[in-house]
Amino acid sequence: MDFSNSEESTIIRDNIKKLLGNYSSNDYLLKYDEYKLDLELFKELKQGGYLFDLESKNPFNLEFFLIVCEELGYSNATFDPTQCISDVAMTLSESNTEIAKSALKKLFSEDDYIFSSALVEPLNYDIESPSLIGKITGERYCLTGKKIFSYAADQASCMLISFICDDGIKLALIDPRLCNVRHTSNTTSKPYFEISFSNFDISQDQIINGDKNGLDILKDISAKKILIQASYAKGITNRMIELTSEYTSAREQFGRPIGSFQAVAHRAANAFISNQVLDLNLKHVTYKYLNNNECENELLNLKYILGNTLHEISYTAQHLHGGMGVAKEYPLWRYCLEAKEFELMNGNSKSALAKLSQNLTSNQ
Amino acid sequence: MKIELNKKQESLKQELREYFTSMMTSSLTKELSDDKYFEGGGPEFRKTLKQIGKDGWIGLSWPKEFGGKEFTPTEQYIFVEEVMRTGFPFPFLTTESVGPMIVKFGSEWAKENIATGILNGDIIFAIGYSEPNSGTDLASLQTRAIEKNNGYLINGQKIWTSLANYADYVWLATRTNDEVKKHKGISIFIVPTDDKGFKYTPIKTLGDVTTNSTFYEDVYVPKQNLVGNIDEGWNLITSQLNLERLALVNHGPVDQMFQELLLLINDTKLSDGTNLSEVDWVKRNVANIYSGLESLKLICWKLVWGMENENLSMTDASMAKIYGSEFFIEAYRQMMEILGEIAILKKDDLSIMNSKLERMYRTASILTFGGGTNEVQRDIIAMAGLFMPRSR
Ligand SMILES: Cc1cc2nc3c(=O)[nH]c(=O)nc-3n(C[C@H](O)[C@H](O)[C@H](O)COP(=O)(O)OP(=O)(O)OC[C@H]3O[C@@H](n4cnc5c(N)ncnc54)[C@H](O)[C@@H]3O)c2cc1C
Repeated sequence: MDFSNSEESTIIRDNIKKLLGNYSSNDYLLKYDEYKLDLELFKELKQGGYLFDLESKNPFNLEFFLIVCEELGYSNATFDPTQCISDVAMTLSESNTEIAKSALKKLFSEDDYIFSSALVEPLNYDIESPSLIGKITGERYCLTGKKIFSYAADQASCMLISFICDDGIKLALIDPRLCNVRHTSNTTSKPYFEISFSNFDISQDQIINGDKNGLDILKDISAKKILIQASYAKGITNRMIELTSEYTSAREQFGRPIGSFQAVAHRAANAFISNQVLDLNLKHVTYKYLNNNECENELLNLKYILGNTLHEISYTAQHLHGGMGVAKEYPLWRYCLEAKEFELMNGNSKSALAKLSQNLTSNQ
Repeated sequence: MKIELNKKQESLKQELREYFTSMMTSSLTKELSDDKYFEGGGPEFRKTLKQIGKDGWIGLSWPKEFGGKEFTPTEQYIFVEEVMRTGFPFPFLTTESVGPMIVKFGSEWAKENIATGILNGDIIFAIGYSEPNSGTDLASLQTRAIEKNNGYLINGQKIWTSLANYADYVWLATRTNDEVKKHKGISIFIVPTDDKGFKYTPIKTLGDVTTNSTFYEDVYVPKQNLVGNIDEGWNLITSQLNLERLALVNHGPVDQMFQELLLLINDTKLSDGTNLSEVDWVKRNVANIYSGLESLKLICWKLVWGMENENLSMTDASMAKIYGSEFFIEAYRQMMEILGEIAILKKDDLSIMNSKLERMYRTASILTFGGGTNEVQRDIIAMAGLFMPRSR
């Protein structure tokens, strides 16, 4: 057994921390409070080799990407590469289709080339079962329906969508500029868009399934999403706990630091325990996933834990800070917004727990 | 035992529901959905408040001789419940905390001018208690009032003075004596916000609630602006606190959202065709919220019953504050889970329930540390309810 981090991962963490230090001052973040999309940071991450590494045999390294995501969460970063890299680029790198290869080439060669994904649907907790329908007409598919929460869809030149047809689940690359893209304002001010399809035409050569089953591809995207969300969550909760311990040590009421009240110390300690539990589960599932071990239940458990932990630590941090915790002049508030988003995206603790219990009882 | 509203109370509830529903005109609703005015202060809000005053719905707890209704605590609770269901930002602190104290302890000038103004819906107060270094330990406050020229000169700084951006007066707690124990040297003044020594700067918050830092530089007020006796302000601060806490955790607004959610659940199909109301974990969330709401309602009812019978228990008051504030956080979470990602959308074609939940989850923590932080409330329960030793 070995719970330690590799030397290489420590180097990556140190480097990304250094880079993000330039992008996380309060003045810097302020510029993005209305609309949190920072394409400069995206370019910097790309050029710095934090999103892919063209010199290695496989340009995408999930283990390192998870470290990057944790640090992005920790620094409240103004760009979120999850959809571009994990949903789309990593998926395309496993497809043997021409369209996937040429799209990836563009991502690698053009600085501001960005992917978006359209996998989430309104009132559908499960991206593995899309309800967007593709009617087959000869060699083509005709789509009607809606996707939501597509990140930076107005900037993207290429978007991965999922749909269901008589042949099962398909994934296709489309040009979002050809469909109806509408900005939806939301709690974190991230650039999320609704994509509406009305008799939208897709040809066979836009499908990236290749020889893979669509459900398997979505299962893999979904697994990576959970790992990434948990990494972000860990970054967010690490920072919230750090802020809380610093603040409650310095803030005095009744002539003593509020952190010296046992009730305060105990609640902070509970947050610490929950955070450790999240960390251990994330490490375990990452290890299993990277080593191709079956880990569906562990992933569901991680999803369950990450939602609960974000919720618990966000409110603990706010409460123990008193008024300062909700004042926008102090950094905590942005983390609280991020926490709620990651808690509710792509299903939630309760839906994960329900699925997990179904798996466990049916296995028996 | 009789744990239900009586006929008179039920009919008051019905009357208030009809009254406040008809009051929410489309122009008022539109103004309140504007980020600038959702906390009140806009022209429609002012107009409506005057109308409410004219209709005799301000001053519920005030004695009849001062134009009040002498409502019982249960009736006041029903009133708060019904107003809160509509989302109208009724200035309860002005009408039910400051107002009754002015008619009881204020100078003749204050009774004649300020109390009447409140009753008419013309005057709104901000509460100036908290300071940068005095939050939970409120009695340590340092804003000073010094006697001068038959009046008082006030200097200092407050923080979190909500509504100061549009209020007419601040109900200001000041230190007037350093020679006695800290609770004993505090006095309350009515401070006009149009004084040239008064300034405020807004503080933006997570829940978009705008509150303010307020600054008092040589603000001079005549003696008539002192409320009650000099150095005896602490009692004025604490005497209304239990009622205030009760208003903070009224079950009305969450119940209103819950009822709207139930309608929605029964009406909404998931993308796979099943009804939202058929999903097991959704059902469990719904039942959890129901259970919390029922319990909160009973806790609050028992408290108002205690108040009515001069048998107010400190333990019950603290329990209501803790249970309510912590339940709200859980209830918003569970409702948001049911709606999924859509719950984090701000006003949008796709957003459900007018994105109310999105805003409420962002304001929920304020109640756990505001109005007497929950740790201190737990200390009170341990001490007064369980007779355990004091923690400090
Ligand atoms: C949006 C908003 C509006 C407000 N409006 C007003 C207003 O209109 N007028 C006004 O006067 N004030 C107002 N307040 C201030 C509010 O009353 C204070 O925030 C509250 O009293 C807590 O004080 P504090 O923020 O300084 O927190 P602190 O006193 O610093 O407390 C922070 C935390 O420390 C812990 N703690 C403190 N003391 C103890 C103890 N003895 N035992 C155990 N734990 C302890 C608790 O966890 C507590 O939550 C408002 C605040 C907010 C955020």
